[in-house]
Amino acid sequence: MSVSLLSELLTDEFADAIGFVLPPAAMRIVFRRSVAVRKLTQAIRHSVVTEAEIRDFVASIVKSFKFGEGLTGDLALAAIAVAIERLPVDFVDEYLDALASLRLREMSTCIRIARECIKHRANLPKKEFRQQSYLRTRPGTLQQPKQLKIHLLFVGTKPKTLRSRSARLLKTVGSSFDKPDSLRLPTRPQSIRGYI
Amino acid sequence: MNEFAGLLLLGPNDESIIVQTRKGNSVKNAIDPSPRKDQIDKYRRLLEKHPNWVERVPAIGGYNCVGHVWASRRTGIFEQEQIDIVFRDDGFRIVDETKELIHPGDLVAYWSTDHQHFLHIGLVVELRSAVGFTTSIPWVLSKMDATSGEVLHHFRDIDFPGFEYRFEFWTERQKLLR
Amino acid sequence: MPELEYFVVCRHLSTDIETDELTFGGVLEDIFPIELPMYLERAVAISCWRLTKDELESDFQTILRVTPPGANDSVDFAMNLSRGRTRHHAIQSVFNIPMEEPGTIIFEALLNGRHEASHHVEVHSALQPDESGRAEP
Repeated sequence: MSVSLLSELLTDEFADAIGFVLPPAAMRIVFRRSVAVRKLTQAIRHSVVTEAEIRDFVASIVKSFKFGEGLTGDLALAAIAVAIERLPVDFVDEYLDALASLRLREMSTCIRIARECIKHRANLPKKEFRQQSYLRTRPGTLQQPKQLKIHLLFVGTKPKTLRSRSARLLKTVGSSFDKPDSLRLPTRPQSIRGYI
Repeated sequence: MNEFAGLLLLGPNDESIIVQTRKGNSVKNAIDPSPRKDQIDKYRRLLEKHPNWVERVPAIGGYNCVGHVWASRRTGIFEQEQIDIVFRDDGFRIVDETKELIHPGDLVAYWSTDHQHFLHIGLVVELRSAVGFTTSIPWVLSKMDATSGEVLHHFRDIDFPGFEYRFEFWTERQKLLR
Repeated sequence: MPELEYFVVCRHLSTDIETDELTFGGVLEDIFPIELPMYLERAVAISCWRLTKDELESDFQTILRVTPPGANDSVDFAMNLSRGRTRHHAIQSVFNIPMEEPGTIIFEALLNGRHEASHHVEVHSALQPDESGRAEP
C-alpha cells in the first residue's frame, strides 16, 4: 500500500487531477488539496510510508535524470515536498533544503515548490526536544537514582541508629548518598526511601 | 539529502534572460525545457475537456502564461512577487467594467477568490457578440502552463482544480475608452 | 531579539500525531512530597519563542536554568534555536531534580544569557504520618 501511494504520484491520473501547473504559490495549494497528497501525508504521519521508502522512491526518480529533458517525476517530487511540509521532523528540512538548493531546469517545478514550502515551513513552530538529567550535570549532589527503588522501613528505632543503618544498608547494596547527612530524618522513627 | 547529492554536483543549468519592468526593475524568470511526451499527452487530455478551446500553438516549452503576455514568449515568469512588480511598475490598472469597455490587448488575470494566489493570465484578443447580450464577450489567448500550448478560449471557460477563482481585467491604457 | 510568548513547566507533554498540537499535562505549581529528600523525577519546560523575519539567520541560544530548593547554585541546560524558523518551541525534559528540603524550585528561561521569564514550583514540607501511620499534610 505504501509503495502505491508514492507511485500514484507518477500516474497520468494524478497529473490530470492536479491540472495545469500553476505558479508555485498556487500550485502548492493545488497539491495540498489533492486527495493523493493528503493520503500520503496521513500515511507518513502514521508510519505507513516510511522515510526509507521516500528516500528509495526519490532515488529511483533521480536516477532517471537526463540533461536537457524534463525530469519524469518532477511533479511527484513536488507533491512529496508539499505532503511532508508540515511534518516536524528533520528529514523534511533536509529534503526541502536539498531540493530548493538545486538549479536545474529539468526539474524546475519541484524546485520552485520546495522553495515555496520552505517559506511556509518557516512560519511553523520548530519543536526541539532535549532530555537531560539534572544529576549528570551535578556530580556533587545526590547520586542519580536508577530504576530499582528500595524502601527501607525501620520502625521503632532511634533516629541516630536509623541513620547509620540506612547508610550502611545502602552501601551494602552498592549505592549510597553522597551526603548521607542530607537525609533529613524525622524526629521520630518512620520510613526512609532510598534509591539504587 | 544524499539522494540529491549527485544532482548538486551537476551544478546550475537554469536559464534566464534579462527582463525589466518599465521602471527598470529586473524580473526573475526561467526558461523551462520542452515538454516531455507524457506532458504533451496530459495537455491533449486536458484540451479534450474543453471542446471550445481553439489551439493556436501546440504544446511547447520555454515560457508560461506570464511570459506569454509580458516577455514576448521568450521566457517564463513564475513567482507571484515578480508578477506584482510588473503590474505595479508597468502602470497597469484594473478596468472598471461599469465605466468602460474591455478592449483587445487588455489582460485578464485570474486569482483565487481570497486574492491570495495568482493563478493565470491571458491576453484579450477578441470581443465576440453573444446572442441575447448587448455587450461583447472577451476571448482570451493564453498559455495554460510552461509545457502546454497556446489556446484561444472564452474568458470564463477555464478551471483551476482546488480553487474557486475570480478574474480581473487589467489595462495599461491611461484614458477610459467607452 | 526573539520574543518569549510563554514559558511553562509541567510533568509531561504529548504531541498530536495528526495536528502536531502540544498538550501539556500536570502544570507544576506545588509539590507535596511524602518525604524529603526526594527527586522530582521529570519536569518538562516549554519555552515558545517568536522571531521576526530579519532574525531568521541569526544565532540564538536559550537556556533553561534550574535552581532546586536550598541549592546554592543553579544548573543551566542550553539549547540553540535552529535557523530558518519564525517560531520555536524549546522543549526540555529534566530528570531527577533533587529536592532536599522544602522551598522553591526556580525554572528560568534565558535568551542569550538574558533572563526572560521564570516559573516557580513550591516544594512543601514532607507529609507527616499520624499515629495510625497515615500521611497527612
